[in-house]
Amino acid sequence: MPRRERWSIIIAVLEAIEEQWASHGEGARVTNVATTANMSYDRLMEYLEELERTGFVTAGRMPQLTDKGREFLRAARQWRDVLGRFGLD
Amino acid sequence: MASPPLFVALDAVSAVLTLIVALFFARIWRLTGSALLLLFAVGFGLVGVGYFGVSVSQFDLAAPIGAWDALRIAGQLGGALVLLFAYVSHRVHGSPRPWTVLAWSAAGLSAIGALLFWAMPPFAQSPRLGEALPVLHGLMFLAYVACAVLALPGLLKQPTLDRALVPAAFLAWAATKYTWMVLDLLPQASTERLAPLVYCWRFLAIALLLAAIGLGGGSRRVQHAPP
Repeated sequence: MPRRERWSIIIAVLEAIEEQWASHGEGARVTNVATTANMSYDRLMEYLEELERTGFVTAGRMPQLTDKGREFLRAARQWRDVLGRFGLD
Repeated sequence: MASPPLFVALDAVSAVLTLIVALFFARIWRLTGSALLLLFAVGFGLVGVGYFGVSVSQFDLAAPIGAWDALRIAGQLGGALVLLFAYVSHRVHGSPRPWTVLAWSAAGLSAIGALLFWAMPPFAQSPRLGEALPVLHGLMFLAYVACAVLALPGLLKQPTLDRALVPAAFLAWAATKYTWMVLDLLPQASTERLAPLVYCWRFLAIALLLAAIGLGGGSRRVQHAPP
């Protein structure tokens, strides 16, 4: 099993946040994001801090995608498809 | 045999098209900061730069091998090895660092090798590049076959036609190198009929790679990922 690359983790976190908000709305939990993104809570928090600094997610107990984050995620899904053709996903 | 200007033109077109693939990886590397993608950009970049070397003299091994040929061989061999080691670093269990170091070493050595051939007079060059060509082409053939195998999990994970493009492209590149190897070993009279085959395989490989990066779109400008 190849290790997860950095771009893959970022996409997984953003997708997990999007999914949690779509499913649970205000009831979304960071622990569920960690489960969905398949990563430890501590590691998720590190990524969330970075994503918050770059303006991809909002600050708060349960972050939400910003417009900038949604735009990045849309483009990143396309790269992921291409990189999957190279066997890099 | 086609005229030398035609080969030069075909090489230049190959170079530009391969550099487009390299630029695609460089762009995603810039956006995500992924070291693996930088290696892919460098690997395809070296192959592209290698195509700027002139192929003409390779059809005549009796002719002296020039600095342009050294650039071509160094770029092609370095690029193939960088791509191979980058793939292995992604697939290997445990630390990818040794393979990443090998990939960067291959890139560095190919640049140094090309520069040495430019700097040294032909009589000082050892081993003579012309004598080493069959072995070098054999190495590149094996590297590209390995790249095709290492790209295959993408297709196995999701067996769709678009995911077959990259393994097929690496196999076509391997076929190019195999044909070169055969050309190196045949008497020169026989090479004239086989020479166009090299370019057919090469352009097939490049077309497949361009299709692979083109089908996904994603050319819009987006914000950078966190550093």
